[in-house]
Amino acid sequence: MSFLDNLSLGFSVALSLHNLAYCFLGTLLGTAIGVLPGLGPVATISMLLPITFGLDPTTALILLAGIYYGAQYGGSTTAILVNLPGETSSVVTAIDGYQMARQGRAREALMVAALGSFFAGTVGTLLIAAFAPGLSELALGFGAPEYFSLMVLGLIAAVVLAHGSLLKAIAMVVLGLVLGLVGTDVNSGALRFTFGLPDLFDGIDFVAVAMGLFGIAEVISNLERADAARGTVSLGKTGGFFLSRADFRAAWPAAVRGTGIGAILGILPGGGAILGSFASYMLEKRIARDPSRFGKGAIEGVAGPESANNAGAQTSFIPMLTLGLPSNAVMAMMIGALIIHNIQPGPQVMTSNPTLFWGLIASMWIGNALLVILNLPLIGVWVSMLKIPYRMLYPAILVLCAIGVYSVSNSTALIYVMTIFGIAGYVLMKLQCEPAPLLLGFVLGPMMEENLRRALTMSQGNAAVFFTQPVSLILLLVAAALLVVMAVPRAAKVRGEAFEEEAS
Amino acid sequence: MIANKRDVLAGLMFVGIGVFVFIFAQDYGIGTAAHLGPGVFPMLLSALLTLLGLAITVVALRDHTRTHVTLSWRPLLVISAALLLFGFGLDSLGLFMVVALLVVISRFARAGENIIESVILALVVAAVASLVFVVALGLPVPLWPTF
Amino acid sequence: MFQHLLRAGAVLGLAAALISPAAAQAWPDKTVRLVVPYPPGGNVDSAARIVAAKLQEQFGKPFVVENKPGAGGMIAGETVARAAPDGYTLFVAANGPLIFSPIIFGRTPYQWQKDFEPISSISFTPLVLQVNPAVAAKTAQDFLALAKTANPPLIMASPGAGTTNHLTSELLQQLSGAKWTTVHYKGNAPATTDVLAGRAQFNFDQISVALPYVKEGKTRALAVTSAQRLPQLPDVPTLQEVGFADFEASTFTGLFAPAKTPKPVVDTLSAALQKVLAEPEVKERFAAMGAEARGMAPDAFAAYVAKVDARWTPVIKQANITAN
Repeated sequence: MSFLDNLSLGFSVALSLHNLAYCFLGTLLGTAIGVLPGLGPVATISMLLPITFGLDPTTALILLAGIYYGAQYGGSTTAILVNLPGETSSVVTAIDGYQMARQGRAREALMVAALGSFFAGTVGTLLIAAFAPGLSELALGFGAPEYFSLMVLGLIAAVVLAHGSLLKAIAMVVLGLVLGLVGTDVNSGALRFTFGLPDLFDGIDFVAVAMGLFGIAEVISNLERADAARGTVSLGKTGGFFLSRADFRAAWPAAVRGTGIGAILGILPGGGAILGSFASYMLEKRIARDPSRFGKGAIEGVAGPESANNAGAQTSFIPMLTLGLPSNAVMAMMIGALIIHNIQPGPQVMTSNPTLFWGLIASMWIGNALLVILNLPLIGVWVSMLKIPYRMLYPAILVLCAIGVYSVSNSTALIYVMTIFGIAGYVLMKLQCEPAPLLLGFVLGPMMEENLRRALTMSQGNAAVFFTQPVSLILLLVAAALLVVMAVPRAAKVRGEAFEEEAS
Repeated sequence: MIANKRDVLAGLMFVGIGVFVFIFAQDYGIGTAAHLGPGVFPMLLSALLTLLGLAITVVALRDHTRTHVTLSWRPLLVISAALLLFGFGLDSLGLFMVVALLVVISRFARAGENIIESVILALVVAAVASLVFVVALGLPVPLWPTF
Repeated sequence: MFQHLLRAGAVLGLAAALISPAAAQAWPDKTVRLVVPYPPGGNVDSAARIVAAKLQEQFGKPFVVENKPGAGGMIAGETVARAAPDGYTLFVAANGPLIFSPIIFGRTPYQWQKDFEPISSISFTPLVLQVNPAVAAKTAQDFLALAKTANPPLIMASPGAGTTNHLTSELLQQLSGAKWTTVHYKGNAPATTDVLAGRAQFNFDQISVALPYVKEGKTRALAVTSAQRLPQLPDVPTLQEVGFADFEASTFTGLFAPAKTPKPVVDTLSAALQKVLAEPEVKERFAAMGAEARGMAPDAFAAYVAKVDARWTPVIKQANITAN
């Protein structure tokens, strides 16, 4: 069957009233859940999984997929409005998105996130449809040395996330790496820095750290400001419904670049997807004429990472659909759903269940379109929520954080962890140490260590593998180049200027 | 006198954490090149963190920018206490009560909030949270106090 | 004196006989929580959800699955061990949380013999020894011979230290005298990826994961760890046939109550669960997950768990798998 035949088969399946309804339900639920931080798609899908038992597998998968990318999308809303990132990718969105909201540009930030996501989702879906079988080879091509080098590159890029002192940014990345050490060491099974507390055996939970460092710390810091009673943000002039010409012109190239980066990284099953939004932010800041705008509400800093995130969310279906390899917990649940319906996930799904495969792909695009249709009108509702006086809004934010973090593993321990990181985040804010590089170190560190040690074990202790594998070598060379660029005086000067301006 | 107090404190904080982690890392094995032990990474990272902390401190000591660090203790303590109480009471008091408590207590983070407004807000937020999380989403927590 | 005791005993016995059916009838009169030691979506979670829905039908009261992941399942185990023994908080356990984790983490918040009342088994999942097609060995015997001489040693991809997959590999090394390099991953998917890509030569995988790859020829199945051959892979021998008498490695899931839960409640639940697990529809669902659904009476299940404990505890100790 040709490509077009496949697509038309897919659309005929996805456009049936029944499937369309479930696609809509999924994206709606997903958005709602994404907006509630902490309440991740995994928890939600698990609640809904029993319902999907009764549906036919294609419909079930369409529903689950809708929840998945709906949640990916919805997560950015809370990150932008109240600086509450509930997942890795929204950490980056929060940096410039929240600043935009504080400047009264929440509408623009949400708009660009919606449009960027839709564009990225469309491209991602097309990529899956056209190249899924071929791209699966790329997923298999990444072994421990390649992942290690990718993580090194990611960590060096993490420094770019900060806009203050370079030394402090590096120290924060390293601090994040140290925090990532807590828990059971994958390679040996040994416990590290758990101090006998079983709640730490699996490491410190990301959601608790992110909500503490960003959400709680932000609330405390807002409360000390005298004008806090008046509201989080000035609404500014609301402007037209769509983006201004200048905003659009600044945002679209960033969205295109972000889509490209996110789509490629999303294919890697070993956690490449989470690098997408960081990589895109780094790129945008690097090529911007005036990098000092970043961290202070640059629209490219929202458009790029949001597109990268959504493109990655789409292409991470490739290893699952073609190889049966889940790249994250949500995918694993979808595989579970397939298995419950007696469909063996894996390479043969495409040929043995073409209606399921192509129906799902077509529904992805429809889902993305529904998301935009659903969310553009909602933007007004979200923005108007910022009109609620802060004295009434912040207790509600705290409640949202507390319940959200509890729901991660139904354990009160995470509420305590979040509180501790809230205090730490506030102190770090006072010391002008930015939390975003710490979080990236925290996420990437364990993967870097795991892959370094795995690569050495597999090569019998021969460190040359990192340089003899071509992909690994290229990634390391790019990382080295990035280091050099960062170290040259001009870049340092720009940083210095940014730092001066920051003094507050 | 130290001018740039903020950065000196930041540097010393990194040094402190680095040293602490380095000492603890001694308990974990070093292993061999082919089987790096669980102690190698912690040692490298903590040494690096200590060095970075020292560098930040030294740079800050030579810097004449005047900075200082003042913490606002009231919101810091009130918010932390409110969250800890939420966690502590959730299993016994039920979601409705702890949400209401969290709202009321956290409102003391700033002086002069209207207590009646606090109570009304608490009831509204608790009702909405109970409906959304327990009734609609089926979060496995008790809704009302259990004794 | 003796007469008195006897009479008192008889009275007590009679009273118990009169009360207990009442107790059994009264249970359940509210929501029953099934605590699962893993996050949603895995095999144990799916098993719990299938069973919960069926028990709810049977008893007409809600049976709710509650995921309490963490610390190798010990957080969930501790919750249930400390819960009131009234039959409203139950533990959906597997080998790891019940037996392995306390040994590996050197932490004993509970001992299954003392703190839990086995109710019934739920399912059994055997493993498949699969190799990358580039590995020359076509049979398990050839493979073990190859493993003994291979230089550099073959690489076994494990989904984590202390998993049944890892322990099976350790046991096979101990029994066969072969030695290979064990590389741990975070979960099944990345471990399987490296076997597919040939960076690792083999692994022990759950049948549901392995089956599609074996069918597509992306891996080759050499042996299964169950006592009998599997219907899905009728041509693949068991490790017992290969020459390891009594070799059986499967992950079991089962339902446990806190110790001192009234016997009638345990028996009622066990009977209901055994009935549910015998339904063809339920059997089919588990089969799709690569598992065999099979209930057991409480005594038989306790004996089975004791056998598993006796088999694997020495393997863990001999291989020196420890978190400390």
